[in-house]
Amino acid sequence: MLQLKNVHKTYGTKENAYEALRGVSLDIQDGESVAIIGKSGSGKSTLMHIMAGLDTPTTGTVEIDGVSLGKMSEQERAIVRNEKFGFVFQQYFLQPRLTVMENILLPLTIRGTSAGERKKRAEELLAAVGLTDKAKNRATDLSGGQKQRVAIARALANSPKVIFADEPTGNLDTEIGESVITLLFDVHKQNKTTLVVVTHDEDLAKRCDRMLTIQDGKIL
Amino acid sequence: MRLPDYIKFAQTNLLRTKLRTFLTVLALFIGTFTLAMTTALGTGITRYTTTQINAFTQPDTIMVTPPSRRSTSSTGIPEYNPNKSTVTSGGNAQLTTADVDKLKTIPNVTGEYPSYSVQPEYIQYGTGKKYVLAVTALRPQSQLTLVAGSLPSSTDTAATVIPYPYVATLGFANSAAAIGKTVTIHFNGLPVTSGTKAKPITTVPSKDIQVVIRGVLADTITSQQTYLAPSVMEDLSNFQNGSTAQFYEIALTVAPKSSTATLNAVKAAAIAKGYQAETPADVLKQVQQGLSVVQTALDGFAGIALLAAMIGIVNTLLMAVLERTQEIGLLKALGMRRNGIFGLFVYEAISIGFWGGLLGVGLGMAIGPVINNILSHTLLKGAVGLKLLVFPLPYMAAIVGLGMLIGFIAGALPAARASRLNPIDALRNE
Repeated sequence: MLQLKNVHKTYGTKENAYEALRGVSLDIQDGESVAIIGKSGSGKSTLMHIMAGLDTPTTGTVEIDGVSLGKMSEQERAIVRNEKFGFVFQQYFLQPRLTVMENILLPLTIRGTSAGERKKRAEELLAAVGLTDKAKNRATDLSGGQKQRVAIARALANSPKVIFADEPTGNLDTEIGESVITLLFDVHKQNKTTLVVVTHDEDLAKRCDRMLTIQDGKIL
Repeated sequence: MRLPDYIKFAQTNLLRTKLRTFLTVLALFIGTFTLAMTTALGTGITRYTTTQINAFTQPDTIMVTPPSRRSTSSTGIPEYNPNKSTVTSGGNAQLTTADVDKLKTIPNVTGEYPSYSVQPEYIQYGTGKKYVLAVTALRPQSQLTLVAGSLPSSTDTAATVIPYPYVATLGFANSAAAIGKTVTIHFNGLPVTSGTKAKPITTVPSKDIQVVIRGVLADTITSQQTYLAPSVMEDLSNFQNGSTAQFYEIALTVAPKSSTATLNAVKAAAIAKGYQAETPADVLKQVQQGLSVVQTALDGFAGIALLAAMIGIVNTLLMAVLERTQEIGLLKALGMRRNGIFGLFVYEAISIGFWGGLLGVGLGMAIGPVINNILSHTLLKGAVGLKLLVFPLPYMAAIVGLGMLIGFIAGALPAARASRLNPIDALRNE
């Protein structure tokens, strides 16, 4: 469902040019879980950004369900991200002034889903990540683990086809990280969502169906 | 995103930096408050002068004055014409009964009322003290505001209408008590010389008229005249000036509730006969033109304040964009489009404009009546019915709207900047 063909990504121009990706091709199946591992600076984050339509390749193509992301306008890519993708970031990126519930519903708010529908969905999502009692709390009042649970619920809000998780346990201690990983894989399996995880965490990588190692902009 | 979401997000974001929002709103408030007050002042003064002008101009009346050699025509300064000398025995251009006869022939004219120049000596009630006064003719269709009694018919030769201050001066308890009372007005005529050349005897004939007070005028700044029937005024003018009576103006009346076209036709006919003429609308227009210049100048000051506030909004939002770069990145990652991000910041700016406008107008409307009240007991005590500050709701709503428009204009640049941020760069921003 996600297909990359000979993707190159170059930052800068001429003598300052830096090639982050040097010809990456890969094919991710529906419902698969894939870990992308590699050292920092290996190009793994760039790869994820390009797969998720947050960035565009310099050359090569990215296709989602047979449709090329590169041929889309910025607006169309935004719609794809909103409807098909979910994101979990290392830094959570919760909106500090919004409540837990409002944070979770952000993708639906952006889409323009009616308030009634959003409310219904919020209840399901809060229950799924075990934060029903925190619904009205401000996002800033939560612990790291709770914040990442909110982020996972937010990533699930639009029932995405793919969840991209960028170092989801990077800011969490082992025990809490473990519970977050468990939650992430639970939702992946229950919802048959494709999961793409960028990580250095070996334990996390091993739980995925497939592990891709990236080094100097190439998949080994 | 839906409109309620935009509005809610805007308010939430404004509350994040309360002091900064407050100061930005305050800057705009100064501008909108000033604008609300200048508008209120302008409206108040315009309304007041309109009532005042209506008190001494009458509808369905065209005021005719002598031709002027110095008429300010658009064709430049007219050449000197020795046959068209305006210097008469009186020194100034004046109208005579011959002019009245000429103006009579204009179609649609129902009456001609020269401004008889009559100098009364005094007014007296019973055997009380004598007081000086000024008299003028009570033309039909006069629109005088009375505080007591009613307007007598212009043919009621035994009637008078007195200005409000005379009520107490003449010794009446109140306006109502004056109605129906007879007062005496004393006039002197031209001196008459009799006797022999060696022993001339100069006598001044005098005349008393007894008139019944039928009405008391409302207290206005401009109208302090005592009104008498036109025919009485004519008799008195003949008594004082003989047949050589001259007038500085002649009022031509047309049928009540005549159209503007009729008024203008009569005016044009009078001008065609070589006179100057103006309708009540002309008088009002002249005064209001002067007022609108003052109003524009005052609004200009408010405009400067608003311009400064606008720069404040731009500044506030540019800071907000910088602070929220990561958030913008996240919203973009989650699929918010450029115009969504643009809307987010623009609604925030419009909200600042809205609150600034509402506060300015609100405070203006709250303290306006207080100021009116204070002024009517102090500075403007004489001017009964003068509300210096009038806040017309459509104008006030327009000021709030202007605040929002200023917000929109100010917010557009920072919002466009935010909307162009690259989601990756924005997310990486630490």
